Amino acid sequence: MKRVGVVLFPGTNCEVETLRAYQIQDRFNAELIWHNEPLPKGFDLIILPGGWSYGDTLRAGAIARFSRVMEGVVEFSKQGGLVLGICNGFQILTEAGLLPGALARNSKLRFRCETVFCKVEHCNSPFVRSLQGKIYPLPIAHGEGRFVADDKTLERLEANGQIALRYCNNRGMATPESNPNGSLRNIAGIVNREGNVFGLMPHPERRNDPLVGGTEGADLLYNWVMHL
Amino acid sequence: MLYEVRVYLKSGLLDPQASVIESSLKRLGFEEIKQLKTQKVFLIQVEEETPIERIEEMCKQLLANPVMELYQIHKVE
Repeated sequence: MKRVGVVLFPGTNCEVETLRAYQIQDRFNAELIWHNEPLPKGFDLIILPGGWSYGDTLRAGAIARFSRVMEGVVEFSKQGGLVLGICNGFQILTEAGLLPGALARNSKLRFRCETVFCKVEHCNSPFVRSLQGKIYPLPIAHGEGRFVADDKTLERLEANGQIALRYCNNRGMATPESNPNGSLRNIAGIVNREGNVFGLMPHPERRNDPLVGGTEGADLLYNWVMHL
Repeated sequence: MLYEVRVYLKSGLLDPQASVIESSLKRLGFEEIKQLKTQKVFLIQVEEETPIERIEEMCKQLLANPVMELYQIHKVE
């Protein structure tokens, strides 16, 4: 039984579907973790879910990174623990310095809420290992998802295989038209150097039931189990 | 003691808000605009004798994101 912890910040709003994604399978035990408590021990995966933590005050994720639980999340990740940040969770991970770069306002100032295609790149992280080349339709819902970083950081991400996901068309081409927010190099998700921290703007937990249009999000939610 | 902190995007980074405001002003007839930028301004009242380094720490730790933003600090009074 793998233990999954989903952190609840004030303003988080994707915790129910994120928890459910794991609770519907017998191999997981998923529970909520309150932001204002130290991180409990014994988890195999910690998730920072989507939402608007602290109302996106100042910058998305800027305040949540100072939550009490985040001290434990940083420590957990430094020891090699798996951390997954989805949407606002990705923003928090960059603000906390656990992932490089930042997420700026979408290039057309528009909140994008739609299904887009993403392709898994060559990336040696337990979250996406063996999924290279797969193309998934995934829901996005964000106003601040434009990944930015300086050229040096971008080159480092490419060279180290830290780019996990790119926005693409239905044939897997990372074209400007398939980029919903102006992210540099069509980046939709990255991992840290060690591969144990993964942040992505799309919501795999919203594409995990035939009732909501498909189950393609499952690979990104469960793949790590086979590579622990 | 009052400090003013200005936080703004690094040059070269797309500022979509500024682009929209600029094009709207031009539509209103202000065609002389060459470039418009946006900034965030924080007015911070602190205890007397607070050194500027303390304000700088605030910028580094929270007010600005060093990946995409720069900051300027002015002592107002």
